[in-house]
Amino acid sequence: MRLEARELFAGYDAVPVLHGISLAVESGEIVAIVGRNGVGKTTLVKALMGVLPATGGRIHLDGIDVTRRAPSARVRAGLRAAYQERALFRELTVVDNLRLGGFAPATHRRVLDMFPDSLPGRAAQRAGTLSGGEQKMLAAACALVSASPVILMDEPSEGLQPSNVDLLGHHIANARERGSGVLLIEQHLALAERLADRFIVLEKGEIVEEGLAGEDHIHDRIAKRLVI
Amino acid sequence: MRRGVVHSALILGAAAIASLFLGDFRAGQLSLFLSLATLAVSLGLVWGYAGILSLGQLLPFGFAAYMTARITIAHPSLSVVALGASAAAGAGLSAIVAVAAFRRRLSLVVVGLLTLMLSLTFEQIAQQWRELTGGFNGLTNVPRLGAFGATLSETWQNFTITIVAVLIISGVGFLLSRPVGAVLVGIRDNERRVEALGYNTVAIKIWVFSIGGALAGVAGALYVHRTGFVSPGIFGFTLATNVVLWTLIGGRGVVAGPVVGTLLINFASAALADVWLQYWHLGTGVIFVAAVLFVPDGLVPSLLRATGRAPRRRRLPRIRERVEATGARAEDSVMEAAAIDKSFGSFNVLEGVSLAIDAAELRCLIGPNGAGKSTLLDILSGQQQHEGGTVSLFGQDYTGSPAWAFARLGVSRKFQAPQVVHSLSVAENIALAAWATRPSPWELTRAGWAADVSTGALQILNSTGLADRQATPAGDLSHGEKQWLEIAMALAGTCRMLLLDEPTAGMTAAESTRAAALLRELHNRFSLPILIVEHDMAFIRAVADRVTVLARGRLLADGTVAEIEENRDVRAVYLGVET
Repeated sequence: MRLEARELFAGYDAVPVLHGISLAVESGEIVAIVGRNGVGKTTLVKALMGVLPATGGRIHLDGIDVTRRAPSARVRAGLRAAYQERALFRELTVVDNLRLGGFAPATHRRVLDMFPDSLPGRAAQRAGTLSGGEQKMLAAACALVSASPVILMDEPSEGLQPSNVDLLGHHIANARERGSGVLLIEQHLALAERLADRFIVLEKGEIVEEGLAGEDHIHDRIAKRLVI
Repeated sequence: MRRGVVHSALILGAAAIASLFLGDFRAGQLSLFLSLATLAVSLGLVWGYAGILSLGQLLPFGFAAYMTARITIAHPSLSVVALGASAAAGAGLSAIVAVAAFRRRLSLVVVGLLTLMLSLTFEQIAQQWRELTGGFNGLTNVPRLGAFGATLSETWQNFTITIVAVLIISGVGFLLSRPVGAVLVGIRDNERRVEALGYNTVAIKIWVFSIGGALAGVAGALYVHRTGFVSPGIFGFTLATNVVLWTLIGGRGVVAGPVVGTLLINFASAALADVWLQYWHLGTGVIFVAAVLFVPDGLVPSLLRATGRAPRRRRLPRIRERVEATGARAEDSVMEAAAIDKSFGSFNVLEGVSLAIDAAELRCLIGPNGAGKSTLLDILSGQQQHEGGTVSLFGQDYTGSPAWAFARLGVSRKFQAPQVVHSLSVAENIALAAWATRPSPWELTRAGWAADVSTGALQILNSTGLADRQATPAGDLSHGEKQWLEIAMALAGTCRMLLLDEPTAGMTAAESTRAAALLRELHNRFSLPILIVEHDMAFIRAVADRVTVLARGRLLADGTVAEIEENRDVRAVYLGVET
């Protein structure tokens, strides 16, 4: 499956944030989006998911135009996101969150065991009482276990302890092996470089740099863009 | 401010001319609707600004109307006394409700229903207590406004009511153009953030609810003079919902909104009443649905936006530098927490944690996810209560004190998920933090629309580019920009100790490096004690004097960065193999 954005524009009220972004994510590859603060990375995820309406351009999923489709329809078509800001039902238990997320009871263990030091003991706890990092892990684990053909992850390593960041990287790589395509927004450049097959650098809502892992000087080209 | 005065004077003049030259019938309608508009403005104040949907503004309104009727039927020349008593009684009644509701931190929905129920209860009382209220028929032949043994003619009463109502409404507009207006919006959007800046939000809500009650009381007194009678229906459901409707249609976020809504709907209903009497309720229903669908924040804000002007008084507060030593005094211990216990239900988050931060120390707190780090910061800033242990600040016991008391002492906090006031601009967010140095409602109404901000906060605004984006609503900032804004807010007012929860989340490596340098510089320059919760080891190496490790609610280790990185236990539970 292929997620493709063509000349995508989006923004908040009258403020345009994305200015004609064109990109594609194929099954079985990890595409890292990097960029400084406020360049539109989170806006891109929201626009691709349909949480924020696109003001211009098209979004295709598996060849079908989903630009005007609701987020729920895109999820059914095989797109899934783990958002940057915590998006759990705070008053429900962790297990009830999983049920609502469409996970069969048999898969609950798999989700929680992804981060064995942190999540398994938390199943019966209200999601709102999880720590910030635990909430991020739960969101990432849900997206990865869903095995959706295309997964969008917005800063999944943020707030995770170093050993859990390593674990997260391992699980994202596994998702790729199983055939998922991952669009990975990540400030943790070392993690992004370890995982990604391709890189896209955003600046002021536009793509300013693209490259493949292993290309000459790829690290320097990206790092140069991130310097303030 | 000068423009505001000119506008008010123009509107006052126009209202006076209209009242005198429209003829008694139209002028009478105008004064009646303006007294109702005053009631709607009282709702706009508590709902639109402070976010409290009160369905019971009729409680002070109706009570004042009955009281004014009783007083002036007996003594026609005591109108002015009755007006004063109405304001006082309205404020008093609302204050009682507010104290009961906000001290207990009842949810806003419950508060709304509570106020509605109280007002319906008063409707029953008014029906039953015939000796006092005249029962179903109410009190009739209420005299016109009077003083010194005489009552006004109809023309002059219309004129007086019109002028008084316009003056009161302008006064509310003036009040809200002061810092208190921004503080109320802050409480509506993000009460936790505003309290953490040092505002006693409960007291401010009680205060604004009481002012709303006083306004509704005055409106009730004017209304009963104008109509000449009062009956139990004044507390009823119909009027209660109508006021909400007018306020919503006009726009609750600006003072002009409820006024425009009230005048528009009432003049329209009066004009159409002959033709459409039996359909009128249907008509208002349709208008309501249309308004909610097409102008969700009301006519006035939508019109302002359509004409390219910002809704609300969006003048930016002037940000000035406050030259004053921030940071700690030379005490030995700035903060000392001893044997802290905290649990959520059966889950023990913290068990016997003790931590002392010295003056001029920059400490990092690390630990596995779920170790209780954020909860500990919550307790050290009064955000959460705990079962055991003590917290003392600068040598004083602060165990159990509210968050605003910690903040006033100078303990500033940045939350893990950045907390800023989304509908206020960057400059207003900063000003909100600076105004917290004088947080009483009285000071907030007197102070001008300028803010004196600490040097450290200005330095952050300038070096992160936020200084050039002062007019941007904070809600439109990116995650990392919100982090910087919140750090600047933490520093802007009185800051003698800084608590930062994951400040570099959402920042690139380069930005984290800069953050480390900036924090280090603030720390050195102002000898500001800082406690930082972080996971980014590169950042921690760059900033920390000392690192404390928390694991499963207990202290695991404590030492320099190098010692911690060598510590076998820490490597096992936290760092993992690679680092």
